[in-house]
Amino acid sequence: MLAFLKKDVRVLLRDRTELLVLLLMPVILTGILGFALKGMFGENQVNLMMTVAVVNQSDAEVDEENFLQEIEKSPMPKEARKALQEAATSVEPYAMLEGVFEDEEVKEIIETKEMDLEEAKEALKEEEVSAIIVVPESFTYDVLNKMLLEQGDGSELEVIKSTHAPLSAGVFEDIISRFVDTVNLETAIAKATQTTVASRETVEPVNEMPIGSKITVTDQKPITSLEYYSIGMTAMFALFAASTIASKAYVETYQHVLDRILLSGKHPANYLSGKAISTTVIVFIQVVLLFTIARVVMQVFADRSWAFFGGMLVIALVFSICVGALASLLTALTVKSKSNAIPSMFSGGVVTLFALLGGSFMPVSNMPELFKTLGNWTPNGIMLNVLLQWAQGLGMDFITPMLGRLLLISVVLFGISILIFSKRRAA
Amino acid sequence: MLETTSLKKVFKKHLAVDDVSLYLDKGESVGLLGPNGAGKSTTISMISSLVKPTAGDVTWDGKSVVKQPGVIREYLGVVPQEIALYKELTAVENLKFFGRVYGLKGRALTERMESVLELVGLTERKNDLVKNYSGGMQRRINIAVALLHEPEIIIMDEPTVGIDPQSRNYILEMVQKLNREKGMTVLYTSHYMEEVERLCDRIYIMDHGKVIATGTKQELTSILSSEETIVLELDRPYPELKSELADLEEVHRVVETEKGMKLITPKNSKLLSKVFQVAERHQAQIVSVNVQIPTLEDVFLHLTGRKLRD
Repeated sequence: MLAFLKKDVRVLLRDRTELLVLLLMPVILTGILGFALKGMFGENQVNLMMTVAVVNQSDAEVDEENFLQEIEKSPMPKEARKALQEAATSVEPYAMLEGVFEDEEVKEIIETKEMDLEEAKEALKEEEVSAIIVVPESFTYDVLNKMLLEQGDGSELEVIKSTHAPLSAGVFEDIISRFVDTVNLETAIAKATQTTVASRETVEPVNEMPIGSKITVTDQKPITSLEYYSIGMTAMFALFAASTIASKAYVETYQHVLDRILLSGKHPANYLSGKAISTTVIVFIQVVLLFTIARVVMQVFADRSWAFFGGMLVIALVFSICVGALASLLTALTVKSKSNAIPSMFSGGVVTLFALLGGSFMPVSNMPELFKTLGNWTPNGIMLNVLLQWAQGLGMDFITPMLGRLLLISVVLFGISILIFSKRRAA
Repeated sequence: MLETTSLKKVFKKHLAVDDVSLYLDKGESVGLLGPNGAGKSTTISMISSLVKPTAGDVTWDGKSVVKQPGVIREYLGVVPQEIALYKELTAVENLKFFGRVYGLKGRALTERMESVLELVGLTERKNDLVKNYSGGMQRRINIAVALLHEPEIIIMDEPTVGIDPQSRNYILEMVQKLNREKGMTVLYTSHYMEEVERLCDRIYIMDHGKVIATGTKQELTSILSSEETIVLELDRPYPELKSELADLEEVHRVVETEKGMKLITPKNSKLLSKVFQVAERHQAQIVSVNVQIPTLEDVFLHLTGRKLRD
């Protein structure tokens, strides 16, 4: 097997065109895309300063009073009424929202101004504010009613974004979503407590929340565009190694080198395994080289620990195994068809499709759900997701299922390639 | 030692090899002569266990190669028509790779590499990339790889195609040396009649997938013992001349050659005056006339009506 590995690596090293494609192209594209699409990743901190109009159409005190009176009138036992009244006075939804804007980090980028709705819309039009948040009438009452009594539809904070500062408005929307998230989580915990359920695992997902909005903000570390594309381009260009190896297999077939190898008495599976192992090693070296170049030249992942890079190596190895299995499948199909069409089609079309679905060109978050699902089954898409999650600080436990999926795909691909190759030799 | 019995191979609807039976004894040098597309390569692919026959069998020391391909592979060296090497690697790197594939390693591998490099005369160029070799040198290293594991029998599929006369002569001398001095059994396919004549003890002539004649060179040419060949060299082509010469009663066959025509006629037919008369009628300038004893080429022409290199 070592002979096959040495030979494949030597043959590849002497093919300068392929080397340029596998090593130089991803570096160039990472640089171009990383700098060109920097704005997509929220790295322009200077532009994030914004003023937000707060349109408060509710009266928290009146709402709370109304809610307390309603409880007082209700036929529930005295103790329950007392508990709910205490809960209502301690929750204070509007105060929680105000608390968000009082947070030191938020204050650094968001200045709030109270306005009525007409004033706020005018200010938005004149580009004096980046967004408006509308707190609707009886906000506190509706939230408490839904939160504590599970009555009504809850309330909904409305965010009106400007088009002149989409990035700032997006950040603001994310902050509001995080607030909504927190309130909803507290509601879920409150419900679990009310129903005296002890275990956290049995907290059921709450579909109807007291405050409506979309949830997008996470607490994970931010990824820069250069970091994103250094992973995305590496994942994409590693796939080209599979088609390169399959193309070499085509040359071996038509020049009868493969026949010469088989005449030595070697089992055909040895040849395929050789291809898979060679590709695995070549891709692993390629990935490590590309990340090293990105780290040294582009300063990506600059503040990361050795443990972080150790994890990256593990992920790179699993990904390389998967590309190795893919190479063996392409090789088997190439040898069976006795044509270079399969590797050509793969490198000319399938890699681009995989790159698109897997998010190598741009984040898949805005793509249709079907595309995202398909992308999550492409080797490059999985590699990208896993590395992004790892880079955002999610632990090995979190990414292990995705690595398992990569290994599962590898086993299936290699199994199919053995079946195809065995049939070819038996023909 | 090696025998094929009624070998047949059909690719989809095309009958490539039809009922081919042949044998090789130990130490023999046997030629498989035929034009391109005659079925030679398919036949040797079946013999070497790379292609499974549609019908028939190949046996090596009485054991079926079709049922157990492994019985012959260890003893067999194959030189394909193509340069079956990694051209991006050096000669030494190629030899090392194939040697290891054959299970050779360490000192044994080094010794074998040195030995075959010396045999093919490439010791001094052993560290050059194969793609930088001339066509003849590539052919020689192609042969060297097949000899690495010291096979008992070597099958060579047109090993001199497309190379200069000097390299061709080198290869032919090498094959003779392997057969006569080292006792290696050789199955040599070619469409060059003179190569087969020079190298082989016995010859099988193939056409359209069938063996159409077999024997030693003398046995084959004796098919035409009652005939002779008149070779006419003309100053330019005269297409209308061919049909009129063919109509002459004593002429068995007429074939156009590069420089003129070839006529197969009965021995001592005294036909030359009639040939000159026909040529004069067509105002054809005869540059030279040669009367030859039949060659294998003529035998092939006699049997098929075509030239070997048609």
